[in-house]
Amino acid sequence: MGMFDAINISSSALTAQRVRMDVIAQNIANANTTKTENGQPYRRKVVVFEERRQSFAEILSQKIGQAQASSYGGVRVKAILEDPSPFKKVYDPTHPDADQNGYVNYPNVDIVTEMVNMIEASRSYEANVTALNITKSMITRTFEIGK
Amino acid sequence: MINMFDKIDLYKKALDWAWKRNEIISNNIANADTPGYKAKDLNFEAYLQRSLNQEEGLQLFTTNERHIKESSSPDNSIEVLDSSLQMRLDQNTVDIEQEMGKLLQNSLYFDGVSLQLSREINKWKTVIKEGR
Repeated sequence: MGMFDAINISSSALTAQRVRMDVIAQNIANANTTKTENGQPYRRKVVVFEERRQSFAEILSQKIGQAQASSYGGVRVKAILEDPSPFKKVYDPTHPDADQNGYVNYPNVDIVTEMVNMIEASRSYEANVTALNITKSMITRTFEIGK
Repeated sequence: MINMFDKIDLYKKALDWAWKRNEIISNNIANADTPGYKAKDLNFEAYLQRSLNQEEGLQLFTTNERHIKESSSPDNSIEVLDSSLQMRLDQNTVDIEQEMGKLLQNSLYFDGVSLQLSREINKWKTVIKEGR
């Protein structure tokens, strides 16, 4: 087990939550974008996390008994997917993007959902900062052994 | 007479365990939003037992150094899945409050053991310096 493994785990989570925060900000910023590059309204994006698995070499050395227990890699962003739910239809014939019946397709972004997700991401970020600080204090404590 | 460093070795193993556990709990917290992730923990007795056994022997006899050693048998008792926790809709079992509590406990335990270790070392220092 490496000295800074726990720090790497926590910082991988900080990165992942930051990406999530970026995507949420992008969703909120585009909540009223009725036309993107492909001509469609903006589609809400969702971040999918997965556990970062250890490398093949680590699993092998663990199996032949060189490591005491498996090591961990933290978390990573697996994909940023688009939410397939339907667009919001709003009747507004004066809008330049309205169809022949006068309806405009607005993005499937729900501001309230985004705000809740944003709070969740920031709380997770804080929890990982706490874990990081505790690891730091443990490391400094080991330097004081024997003093 | 007991070995001079027996106690120090024991503290070392306890610190090892807490260090590893900190890593596992950090991993649980990092994966609090990962779908399908299962919270893990470390079994203290199994860990201590195994690290004590490793130095005292009970090795499998091998006729070639490239034979697989005894310790290669997968020992799942060390890492345990935390089954007490409720699964969320995304099949994730991390309970963030419990994990933060465990993290704090573990760090206090680590501080305690390392303090004990320092005192043990200081005792020997006193002996070496003839009490001066």
